[in-house]
Parts: sequence; structure tokens; C-alpha cells
Amino acid sequence: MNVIRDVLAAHYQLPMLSCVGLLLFMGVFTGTIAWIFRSGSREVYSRLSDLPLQDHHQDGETQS
Amino acid sequence: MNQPEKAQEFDSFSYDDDIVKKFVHATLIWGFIAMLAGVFIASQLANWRLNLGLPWITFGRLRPVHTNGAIFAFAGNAVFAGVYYSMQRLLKTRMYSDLLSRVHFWGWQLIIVAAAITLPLGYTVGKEYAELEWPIAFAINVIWVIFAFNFFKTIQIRRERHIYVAIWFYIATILTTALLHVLNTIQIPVSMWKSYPIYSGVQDALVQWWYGHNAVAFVLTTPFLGLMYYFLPKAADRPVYSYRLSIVHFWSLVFIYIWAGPHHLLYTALPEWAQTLGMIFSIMLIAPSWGGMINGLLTLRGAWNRVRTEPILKFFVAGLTFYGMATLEGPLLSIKSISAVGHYTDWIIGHVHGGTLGWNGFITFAMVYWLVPRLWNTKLYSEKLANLHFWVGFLGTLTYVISMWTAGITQGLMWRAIDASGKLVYPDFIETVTRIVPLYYVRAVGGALYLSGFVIMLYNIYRTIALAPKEVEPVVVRAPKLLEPTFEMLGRKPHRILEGLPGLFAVLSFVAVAVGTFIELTPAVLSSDYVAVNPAVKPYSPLQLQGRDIYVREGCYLCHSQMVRPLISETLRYGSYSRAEESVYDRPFQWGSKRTGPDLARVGGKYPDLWHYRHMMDPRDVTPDSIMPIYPWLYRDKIDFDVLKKKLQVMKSLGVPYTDDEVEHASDLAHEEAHRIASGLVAQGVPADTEDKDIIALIAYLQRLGADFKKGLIQ
Repeated sequence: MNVIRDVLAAHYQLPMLSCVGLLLFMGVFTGTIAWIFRSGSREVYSRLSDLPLQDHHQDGETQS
Repeated sequence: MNQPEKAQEFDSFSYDDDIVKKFVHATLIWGFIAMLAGVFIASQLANWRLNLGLPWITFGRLRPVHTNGAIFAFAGNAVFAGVYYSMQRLLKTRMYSDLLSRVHFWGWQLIIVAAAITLPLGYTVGKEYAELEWPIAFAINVIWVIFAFNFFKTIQIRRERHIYVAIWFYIATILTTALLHVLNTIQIPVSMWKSYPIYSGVQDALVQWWYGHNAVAFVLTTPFLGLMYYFLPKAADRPVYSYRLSIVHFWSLVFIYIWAGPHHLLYTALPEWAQTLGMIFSIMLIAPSWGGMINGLLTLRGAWNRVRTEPILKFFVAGLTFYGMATLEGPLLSIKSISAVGHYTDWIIGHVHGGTLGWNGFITFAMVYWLVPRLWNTKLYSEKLANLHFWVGFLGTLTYVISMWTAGITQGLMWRAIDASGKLVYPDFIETVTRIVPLYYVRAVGGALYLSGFVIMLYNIYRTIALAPKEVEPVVVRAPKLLEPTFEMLGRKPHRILEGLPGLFAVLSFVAVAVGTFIELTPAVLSSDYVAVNPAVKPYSPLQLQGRDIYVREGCYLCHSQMVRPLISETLRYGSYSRAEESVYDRPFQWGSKRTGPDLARVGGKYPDLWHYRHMMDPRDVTPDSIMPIYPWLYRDKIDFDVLKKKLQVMKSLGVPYTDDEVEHASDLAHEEAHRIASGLVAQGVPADTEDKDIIALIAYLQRLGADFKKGLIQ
């Protein structure tokens, strides 16, 4: 436990860690944006957004 | 579907709607009880006589019944009802195990009953929204794991490859709530109904508000967003406005929310960097929160004309609007200069109720009105009554919130008012209380209105179910079997395979919340340098420790803080600001979050013992306009001296530097101190048989608060 503590304490004093954290943070969000606008995603998301509307048919069969 | 046509085979099955009905019933029953308790304690604040001098219904014990009831019983059961209904349909499968669903249901109800019994009896850990003692906290973990197992196994046997965004929010809820609850409830038992947290002071505060804020995030926000993303498109009969926006909404919300907890501790003894981190991430929360709200409201594009007539859509629109208001107000209150005015005041109470009554309540009502006719295969008894419910509930919410905003800002400004000579304009705390008592009456009326609307719904739902046919055959559903992804499919649409991997998705969600948790909590929990231990600060004496446990038992922390902020107006009123080392032996920490009464961090030595004795007997004896309850049982109930040795043993095991001699003779030491305090009181006319009563232990504790500082031991 002491080793972990010392390693952490040492790293928390690294200014670079803040920069890495910021880059990671921006990377996640730009990555998410890039992912949702990837080629062919429109039709996929259009079908996905219809999922809640596909489950209440009187004949009991779900809609494709 | 998304299978190659040649491979399509159909399964026939039915959904388990009985479990949904059970959770709907529980939502309605517990909702009524939680709201009734809320109206009652609101009335107690308006008129202290309603505490009736009875321990189990006094404000400090009943308030956790209200909060836990509203969060875990009302909102919790509503979430489970919605989750069980929607996930079966979105995944096109019955729940993995009907038995586990029922163990989950009955286990959860037993936990609620246990909470409703133990909290009024004074069995509490003393941390807000985490008051339940260790056996119940452990049971919550067990039941949650059973729910999670059933949930993930259901995902595993699904017939729809893709996992709709609502289920993403459910997954984040399940994983994060487990993480929050387990880490915040690690405590060492002293007896069956008493335990001490392993964290103390500033560490306990950080862990508690990391939990407390994220209970709001992952019990009252993410699952309700999941419900919104499922039930709003159903009610509006059109798909969600932007699925892309829902993805950004999800990831940004779960990633950012987990960091925001320290905004509950601005200007406290928490290190500055943690406060700043909490403030910045709280402000960033506006973006995903409003993204979700806008996505919800725009889902109604082309259907706004129906909002005029359909109560379900009214509830959704108002619920989303309150969500938007609360998620703008919350970040604003997280800005340090605004927090300086709003914190500890009723502004926070108004903010919280804007979210719970307006967002959680209205989304739940919309869901129940939509679900019940479908579950019971009938029509809603009265749309008019549902509309009436909406308007009464809406008026009640506005009355509640506006009265508390007014009370909070009024009192916050009165606390801070300093005249030209540098003195407090309102030096007597009670002046700032009497000014807002009329608003407490208005708040109680607002709560009563909201409860009235709920009763209207109960009647409407009762009549709706009464109209339902007695015997209904379960609907048999047919859906194509789900095949394992093939290389052919993978080559054609690799992203569709990835989006359908729930295990990977769950891991990524967990990582998103774990990053903030790790960075914020690790220094506090692992580093002994986090709080400088001052050797001059001594542990509580056995009698003071017993008095502290009485303070926790009576819920004093719900109305009194123990944290003087480094603001001029506070140091003028209370004395020097609080240091982290002062609460290093506090398990649990008692910094509080509300000042219905004044801060007590420096109360030790401020008044003589007799003042405290009379004050607890009847606060009006020493402060004529006080709204504090009376505590006659403290003068009847005897101190449990026998348990003190065990308490000191547990504290010592947690690192409190008691000597072996102190532990061994804890009871004797407490008797000696009690005798000393009682002798002084008896000499001033107090009855001679007071020495072994709870009030003596409580006086010992109160006189200790801030005493180390006043002796000059802390610089």
C-alpha cells in the first residue's frame, strides 16, 4: 500500500499529468463525435431510434 | 431484423408484466408514504409543536425517512417498474429469471420496511442518503447484485442485437450505484445497529459527497433519462429527435457527473484543488444536461398540439423543463461566490425539490399513467382527473420551490449583511429564522398541494384497475432468434457488432465513471499527508463519544453544521474558520449541509452546561423564538456505559490513538466525567438523578466542539 501511495504522490506532482488528462478528455469527446458521424451511421441510428416503437402490436408479433 | 434472411427463425414468448405491476403498486404506496412524511416534516419546521415531544417522529429522525423514502422507495421502485417493462421489450425477451425478479422485488420492499422502522428508532449512520445501518446497507448490496445479475443475463439472452440508448443509461445506473454504495458504506460494526465508517473527517466528507451527489446523478438522473428515452417516444408516438445527440448526452453525462461531488463542500476544509475540480465539472454539466432536455423536448416536434389535451405529455414536458431548470441552477450554485450565499440555506432545498418533484415525480407520473392502462388491458378511468393532477402538482411544485428560493436567498443575505462599522447587521441567528418562518408555512402548503395531486392519481389508478378485466391471457410475442455475429456481418458492418457488445459497453461505462472516482478519491484515501494530524487534537473522551452518537442519533446534523467557512460574515458570527485537523477523529463527519439552526463548530464553552440542559428541555427557555423541537427523552433515557469499551475498541482499530488503559476503563472514565458535569448542574438546581442520563453525554460532546481550538492548541 505504501508503494502505491508513494507512486501516486509522485505522479500527482507532475504538471504533465494535467496536460495528458486534458488531451484524454478532449480525445474522448472528439472521438465520440467522430464515431457518431461515421459513414453510414444515419441509417443505423434511424433504425435504432425506432426500437421503442416496435413492440406494441395487437397481433403479438414484433415488427422488423 | 438484422439477421441474414435465410437464417431467420422465430421464437414465441411472453413478457413478465406481473413484476412490472408489482413495482408500480410499490411506487404508489411508498410514494404516498414518503410524500406524507415530507409534508409532515415541512409542517414541523413551520410549527415546532408538531414534533409532539415524541422521539420517533421528531424532525431529525423523520427527515431521513422522507429522503430515503422519496429516493429509494418512490423513485427506486418507479425506476425498477420502468426498467423491467422497457428492457424486456427493447431486447425482445422475457427477463432471464422470474424468480430473481421476485427476490429483487421482495428484497427491496423488505429493505424499505427495515429503513422505515430503524430510522425513526434512531439507528442511523449519520450520513445523508446513506443513513441505513450496516445490516441494511449490506442487504442493499446483495439485492442490487441479484438485480444486476438478472439484468445482464437478460441482455445476454436478447433477440435484438442493438442495445437502445435507454438501456445504456440503465447499465450506467447499475454499475455506478454499486460502486458508490459499496465504497461509501464500508463501516466497522460496534453492534447489530451501530457502526463507524472507516473514513473520518475530511476523507469521510469527500467520499460521502462523492456518493451523495452521484446518488442524485445515478439514482435520480440517469435511470430517469433512460425512462424518458423509452416512454417519451412511446407517448408521443414518434422516435427520439436525435439518436446521435443521445449518444453524446450519455457519454458526456456519465463521464462528467462523477467529478461534481465536491461542489457540496465549497469553502470547507476540503483541499482547494478538489473544490475547484468539483466546481468546474459541475459547470460543464450544463452542456450534456441541456442536450438531453432539448433532445426530449424536440422529440415532441409535430405533436405539441397534443400536449394541450394529453396529461401524459403535459407531465413529460413539465418534467423535462424542471430537469432543465434544476440542471442549470445546480451548476450555478456550484460557483463558489454563489455557493457562499446559497449553501446551508433553503435555496438548496428549493433546488433539490425542483428536481425531485418536477423531474422525478412528473416523469414517474407520466410513466404510470401510460403503463397502467396497458398493463391491465384497460383505459384510464379519467383523463380529466389526470389533468387535474397535473395542474395541482404543478402549482404545488412552484409554490414549494419559489417559497424556498425566497427563504434561502433572504436568509443567505441576512447572514452575510455587515454594516459600515464592520459588524453583523443580524448578529442573532434567530432573527434570520423568524424572518423566513412564514415561508415555511407556504412551503408546507406547496407540499400538501403536491400530495393532493398524488392522491388524485391514486384514486384514478385505483378506478382504472377496477375497470380492468379480471382474467387476461398474456400476449404471446414472436421475434426472430438472435444469431451470433458472423465474419460476413463483421466485414459488412463492424460498428454494428461493436455497438451490440454489452460486456465491452459496460466496461467502457465503468471506466468513464472510474476515472473521476480514482483521481478525486485516491489522494484522500491513500495519502496520510492529506490531512496533517495535529498531536494537540485529542480523541473524544468516552462520554463525549457517547454524546456524539446521541447527536448523530437525533439527526442534529440535519439542522446544524459544524463547518465555519473562511468568510468574514461567518468568522464574525461563529469564530475562526474550521480546520481539517479538527475533525480528524470524526466518524462520521458532521459538517452538515443545512443551517436551520446555527453552526456548532465553535459552540463548546460558549454557554454554561445549564444553558444546554435547559435548551434541550425546551429551546424557548433560552431562545424565545426558536423553532427547535423539545427532547424530553434525553432526560429519561440512560447512558449505555457498557457499550463504550467496544466503541473505543472499534475506534482504536480504525487508528484513533486511544491507550489500552482508556479502552479498558472506558466506562469508568465516562462515569467520572458524567459525575463531574452532573454535580455542577445539581448545584444549580437540576434534579439529582441526572448523572446517568443521555443529556449529560450530549452536553459533554457539545462542550467539546471547538474546545481544542479555543485552548490555542490549533493555530
